[in-house]
Amino acid sequence: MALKKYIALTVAFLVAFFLDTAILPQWNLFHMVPFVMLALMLAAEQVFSIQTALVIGALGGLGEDLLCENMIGLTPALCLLSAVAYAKLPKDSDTKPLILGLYCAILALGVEMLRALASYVIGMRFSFWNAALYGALPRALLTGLWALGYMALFRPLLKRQVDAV
Amino acid sequence: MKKLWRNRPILIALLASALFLALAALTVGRRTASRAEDMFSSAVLPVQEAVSRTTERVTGFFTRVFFPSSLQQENERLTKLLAAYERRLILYDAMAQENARLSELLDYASSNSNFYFMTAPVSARNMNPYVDTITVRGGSRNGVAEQMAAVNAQGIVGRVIEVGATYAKIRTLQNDDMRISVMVERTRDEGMLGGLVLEDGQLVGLKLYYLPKDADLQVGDTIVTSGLGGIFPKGLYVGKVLYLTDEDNGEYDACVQSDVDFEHLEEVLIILGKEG
Repeated sequence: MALKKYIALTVAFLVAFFLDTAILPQWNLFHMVPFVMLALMLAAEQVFSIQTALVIGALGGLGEDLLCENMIGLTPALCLLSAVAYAKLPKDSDTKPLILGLYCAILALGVEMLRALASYVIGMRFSFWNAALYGALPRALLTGLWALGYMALFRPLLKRQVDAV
Repeated sequence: MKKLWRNRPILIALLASALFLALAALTVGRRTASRAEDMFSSAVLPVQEAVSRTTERVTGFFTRVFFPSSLQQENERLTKLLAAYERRLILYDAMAQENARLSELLDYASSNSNFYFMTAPVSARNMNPYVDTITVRGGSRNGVAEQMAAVNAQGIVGRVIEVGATYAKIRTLQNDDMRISVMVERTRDEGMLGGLVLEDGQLVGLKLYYLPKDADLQVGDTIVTSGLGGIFPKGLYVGKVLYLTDEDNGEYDACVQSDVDFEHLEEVLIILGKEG
């Protein structure tokens, strides 16, 4: 059963990687694209374990940075920090999916704003208000929704794993 | 380490985050890729490109299906743009051709610098298939007078037969009643050129006659104006001997072919006078 989980996660990881770096940037309706790798990581943390999430966040973030960013290490750092933050949020097995989605969206907003702050620090100049309202907020909401989708997708895997145990 | 990973993942995550942030701080503003980056990008980019191309196709398909109006607008815009460029291209081609023709005329005028020339664009021609008369822009106001010679880079075109204030009519060599006093450039034998040689209704050349009986005329000989008659200055190129006729033919001695393309004349030079 664990093998199926790893296969599913590997496929999801590769899909998220190419969605983030190749597919969604071309298909961005009104520049609103979710951060799929973050959504995958948070969903994996919710459904499987924080360790799984950390591996996904570190590898995925680093891979995306190596391809697309000029500050290599920023994305995995932000992913790992959001994984830690997600672990500290109050939740249990009965927490409603909407709340989980909201958590993910808030963390994604945090990641986006920190990314914007980092860009500002290295010399980029833009309006934070515009970045938050038209860039980070829609992206964060979409990421939250996407994470909910992943959770719904992974839950049966976990159930089968638990049943098998 | 395994125990730490299992029991204190948050601590490991924070440490790893700190390391990644340090790495980010180190890599800000770099311009050259490290060896690891280079290897990773080299391995992933081909797949990345394939995915991108596939996405482009899929996106293009959905754009065509769901946003046909925008595609139609784009199509209309590009069609208009293409039409505008085609018009420009036609204009450019016409200018290039005109430039080539005028350069030839200029060369001709330069090589005959003892004459005063006027360049006259052809503005009309009669509907006779053998184009016996053309009308050019430029008349008495420009110093054009009747009986002046018209030439171009390929040779004699004809003579002015009518002059208005701003136009002139030129009877070309292809008119059956045109006569020019000419000579064979090589032997200096003089003769008369005029009248059309037709074969099966097709114009072949012009008749050359009144040559001396002992004239050593050969196929390919160059015929130039002799200067007699006062209309055409001496030494202007007329054409080349195409073939000789039988000695006892009596009608004409040879057929001379002019190099001038009378059916596509666009500019001519009118000889206004001679220096001195």
